[in-house]
This record gives sequence, structure tokens and C-alpha cells, in this order.
Amino acid sequence: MTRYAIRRLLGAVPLILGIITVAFFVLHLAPGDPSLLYLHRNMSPESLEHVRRSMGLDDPVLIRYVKWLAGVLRGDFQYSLTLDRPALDVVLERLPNTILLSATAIGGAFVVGVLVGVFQAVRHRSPVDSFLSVVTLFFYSMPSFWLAIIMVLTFSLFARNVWDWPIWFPASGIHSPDYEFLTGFEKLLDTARHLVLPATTLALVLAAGVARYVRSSMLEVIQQDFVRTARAKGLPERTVIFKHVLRNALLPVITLLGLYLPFLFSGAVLVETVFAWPGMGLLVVEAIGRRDYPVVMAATLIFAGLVVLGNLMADLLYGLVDPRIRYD
Amino acid sequence: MTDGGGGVPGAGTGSVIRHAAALSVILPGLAQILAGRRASGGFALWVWVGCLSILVLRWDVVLDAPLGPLDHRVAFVTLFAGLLGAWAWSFRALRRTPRSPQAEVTGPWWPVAESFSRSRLAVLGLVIVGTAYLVALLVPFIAPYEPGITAGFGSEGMLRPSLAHPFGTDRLARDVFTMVLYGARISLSIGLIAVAISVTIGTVLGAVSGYLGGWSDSVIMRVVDVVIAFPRLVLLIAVVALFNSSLLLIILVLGLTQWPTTTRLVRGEVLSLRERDFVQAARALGYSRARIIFRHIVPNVLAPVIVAATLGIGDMIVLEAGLSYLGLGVQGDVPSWGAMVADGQSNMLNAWWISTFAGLAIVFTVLSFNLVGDGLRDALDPHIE
Repeated sequence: MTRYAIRRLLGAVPLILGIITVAFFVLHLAPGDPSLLYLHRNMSPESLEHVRRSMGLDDPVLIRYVKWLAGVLRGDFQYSLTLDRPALDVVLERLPNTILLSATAIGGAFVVGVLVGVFQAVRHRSPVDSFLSVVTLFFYSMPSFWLAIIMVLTFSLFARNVWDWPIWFPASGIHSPDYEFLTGFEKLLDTARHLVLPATTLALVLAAGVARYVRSSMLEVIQQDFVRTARAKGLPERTVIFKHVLRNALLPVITLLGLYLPFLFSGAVLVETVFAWPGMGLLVVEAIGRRDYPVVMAATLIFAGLVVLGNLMADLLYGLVDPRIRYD
Repeated sequence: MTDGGGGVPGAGTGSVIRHAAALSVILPGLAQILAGRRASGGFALWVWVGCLSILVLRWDVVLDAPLGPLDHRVAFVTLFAGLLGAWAWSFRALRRTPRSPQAEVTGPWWPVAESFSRSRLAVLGLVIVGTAYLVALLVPFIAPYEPGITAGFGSEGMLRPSLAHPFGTDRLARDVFTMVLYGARISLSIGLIAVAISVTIGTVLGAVSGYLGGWSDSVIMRVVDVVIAFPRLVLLIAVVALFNSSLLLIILVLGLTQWPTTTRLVRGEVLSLRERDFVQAARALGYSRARIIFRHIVPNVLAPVIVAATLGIGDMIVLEAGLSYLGLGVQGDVPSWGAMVADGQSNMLNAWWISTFAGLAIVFTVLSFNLVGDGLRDALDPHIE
């Protein structure tokens, strides 16, 4: 298994190289020039030329690509063009926020999704099943930003200002303005309160997909012979469902986990935007708007790395829980 | 499209149908409803009544249309095609129904249609999708106002929904109902064309990769790996933000990044088809590889591809809405649904109608496509019962 993992990691190198190469050329061949951000009406063409040279923009794209790649290999991701800090620092500072949001959302989505999916499969063809199918399809069809707006309206604006609910959740950001003055536990609570709405939004959209997947996977397993055997030998239905069916039905769900990772690192962009959650998605949107190429490239590289790592973990996990899978 | 619920019309209903035949000159589809085929008759009737009322109520616009701009001419053709289509459809069904219902059992798609129509929700989804496309084509005749035109001098901004403005007006005093109708054109065309592109590429590459194997398989699958692992939304945002955003660009980018999932799906199917007898037979007959792939293999993988494509249209619409929500959508005088949501978001408390109707339009359009996709999967996949 270790050998398999190492081989997969080596195989990931050309994959990531391909991704960042495409990203680099898309960004750098696009019209527009980051140096124009510094354009001033009293500026002479010479000084603009100087700015461009200092930003490394006067080289041909191919030379810039080689320079950038050589820098990356030495761990140098260049300076952000607008923030005056190393691009990698800018990105890494946002990474924990994104991981906090994604991990909470994925965790919640899988718990809720599996429960709903199992319940539906057990009650297959009942009115509850049909009802839940429509509900999950409804959330599955919902654009995340629209759900986010509804959540903000209901649980933040209306709950606080109109209905006077005792509990409401902040609609944006990750900390309250008075965060610095809070004690350790209060700080944790404050972050958690800010996390509730964006994480729930993401989790609901994901959970709908998981529930649909688990339901059909369960229904497929339930038909199999070993389930009939388990029932025939008189096992209680609860044991059959949870020990025999669910365990097998969850196997393909692990693949789903691998598929969701890229979605979470880039698909959370919209949710992060609505909730002003200072994660990587929001950073990338802002950086693209400012044509801050080094930051976008650093973020893309980290995205790609996380996705490859996530897929590898899903594959290894699959082999761990399913002895029929052999790595050779 | 047929409704399985009604079943065989008995001897008694035969005469009712004959009477209905006369009536159905005026109201096509009625006979089908009486024969118990409510969905197919209902849709014909709905199209007929809809087109007819447009013709009657907006005849001045309709008469000007043949000399008007392109979308008016398209709408003109669609209107009469809809009228004639509803008529022809219902007469064709009527001719068959009384004689023997079995007469319709023709072609390989019959069991699929029958199984599909057993799900009421899937049929409802199909009717909504059909209506949505008709509305998108007929928009110039349906919309009460011109698109992108400010109605008043600010005095008519942010009006509540009323008879004059069914969905209210936005900050610039534009009619929200008109904007939602025109937005349908953007979303629906992007969804359909982008999926057509991705499904075509995906199927061809998947079939080639699965059937040929060897180095072409490796090359295609490595490209698939790269495109799938690519942070897609980042690429979309980058391309749309940095190049001049146009309808064509968005369609191309969406279509050219979606195909790998289809490729994987088709490749998996082809790998198992490749060894089947009919393919061996085709090979033994000395057919060319291209002929075997496109005439013998591809038709047999279409079922899962059609399901994936239908569900994919919903995904595309959501993606496009997300892009335009970020302000990166199609630029033009008519905003798309996502842009309308973003536009009205800050006025949600005092003018909820600006965002809400666009948001609901996205949700229900995507929901309908997904209902159709689910219905098709249940109908095409004999896996579960």
C-alpha cells in the first residue's frame, strides 16, 4: 500500500504541473496589465515602463513561466502585486479558514446525508420516501448563493430585527469587531457563531447530493443475495440494515468524498462571497479582479495539491475498508 | 409523451371520444384528456391555449414580427409551429386511440416513455421544461415591456408587484417580470448548448478511449485527470473576468470543462461493450473502427449519457447563475437571473421582489431539469426493480 501511495504521489507531479501550466497561460495571455493599477495621470511612460520592469512584466510569457516555475521549485512564489507581501503567505493565511468551513460542511453533510439516505431506503416507496426525495432534489437544485441569501435573511436579519428571536447568527465575516477583547473561550464561541450560517448553507447543498447517492446505493445493496441470506437466518432488520447493507452501501460514498473535495475548495467561492468569509475562494475572486497573478497562481497550486491529496486519501481509504480492492 | 395511468379506453368511452374529436378541432388535446392520457393531452391543450391567447391578445406585436428583429421573427415562427404542433400532435394521437392502444407500441423507446410517464413528478418536470423553452422562444410576444428600458424617471422604481408590474419593478424602474422572462433565454440557451458541446466531446473521446485502448486511451485519460482536478470555478472566473465576457465565451468555457465526467462514464460502458458478441460480429465483418465505434457502440451507451446530460443542464444553469451573481455573467442590456439576484440582494428587506423572482426562476428551472433527469434514469436503468 505504501508503494501504491508513493507511485500515486509521483504520478500526481505531472498532473499538478499540467494544471498550473494551463492556469499560468490562461492568466498571462489574457488581456489586461496589472501595472495599470499603478497608473497615475502625472506618470511618464518611462516610469510606467519602470513599474512594469519591476513587476517582471516586460519579459515574454514563456520566460516569465520558466522564471516562475524555477522560483516555485525553490519555494518562492513571488510577491503579491497588490499586497506587498509574499503571495504564498497571503494564501496560507486564508487556508485555515477555508479548511474550517469545508471540514465542518463536509462533516455535517455526510452525517445528515447518510441518515436521510438510509431512512429513505428503509422506507422505500413510502410517502415519506417520496416526500424526502422531493426535498433533497429541491436542495440539490438550489444554487448555493441563493440558499445563502435566504439563510442570511431568515436567521440573521429577520431573526434579529423583525422577529426578535433569542438566537440569531452573524451574517458576515469570521470574527465580531470586538474579537480582540474576548477571552479564549469567548473567541471560540464567536468564531463558531460566525461559522453556523455559511457551514449550514454548504452542508445542506452537499447533504442533498449525499442523501440521493446513499439512497440509490442502499437500494442496490438491499437487493443482493447476502442481504436475503441475512434476513433468512432471522437477523433483526436493524442489524441487517446497519451491519450488512449500510456498510456496503457506504463504499461508493467514499469516492463521493473524493469528488466533493475540489468542489469545496473552489465551489465554496460563492458561499464565501455571500458571507464575506475570509477563505481562499474569496481571496481568489478578489485577486483575479486585481490581476494579482502570483496570488492566483499560488492559490491554484494549493487547490490542485489538495485535490490530488484528497483523491489519493479517498482511494487509500477505499482500499482500507473494502478488502476486495487490491493495490498492485 | 403518453400517460400510462389512463389505460385502455373502454367501449363506453369510444363514443365520448368521437364527440370529442369534433371538439378537438377547437381545443386539441381535449380528446386525449378524455381518453385518460392527461399529461400528453394537457400539454397539447396548454400549448394551444397559450399560443392562441398570445395571438389574440398581442396580435399587433405578432403582425409586426416578420419584419422585426431576429428574436421577433423566431418567436413568430415558434408561435405558429406551436399552434400547428399542438393540433397535429392531438390528431395523430386521436386517430390511434380509439382503434387499439397497442398500435402505438413501436420502437425501442416505447418502454422508456411508458416507464417515464409513470412518474408524475418527472412528467411535471418535462412539462415545465417544455413550457420554459417555449416561453424563452416566444419572449418578445409575452413580455409586457421592452427589455432593458427604464419605464419612468425613477418615480416608478422599486414598485411593489401589481397588475401593471406582476413582479414589481427594480431600482431603475425596469419591469422585473420582463427581466425574468428575458433571463430565461440566457440560462436555457447556455444550459442546452454547453451540455451539447460537453456531451459530444465526452462521448466521442470516451468511446475512442475505451474502444481503442493503448496510447490514445492513456493520453485521453491523463487529460481527463487534469481537467477534473482543475479548480473549475477558478478557471471559469479567470477566463470570464479577464477576457471580454460574452455569451459565446461562457458557453464555450462551461462546455469545454464539463466533458471529462461524460468521458469517464462512456469509457466505462464501452470497456464492457467492446467484448460483446455484436461488436465481435461487426469486427468479423471487417467494418472500420470508426464505423464500429459510431454505429455500433455509441448508440448503446446513449442511455446513461442522456441521463447525465439532462442532469448536466441543471448544473450548467446553476454554474452560470453563480458566475453572473459574481458579476461575471453575460454583459448586455438584459441581466441574467444570477445578476438579478445580486442586484436586488441589498434591497431584500424593502424590495424583496427584485431578487426573489429571479432566484425562484433558477430553482424551479433546475428542479424541473433534475426531475426529468431522475425520471429518465429510473426509466432507462433497469437496475433497481
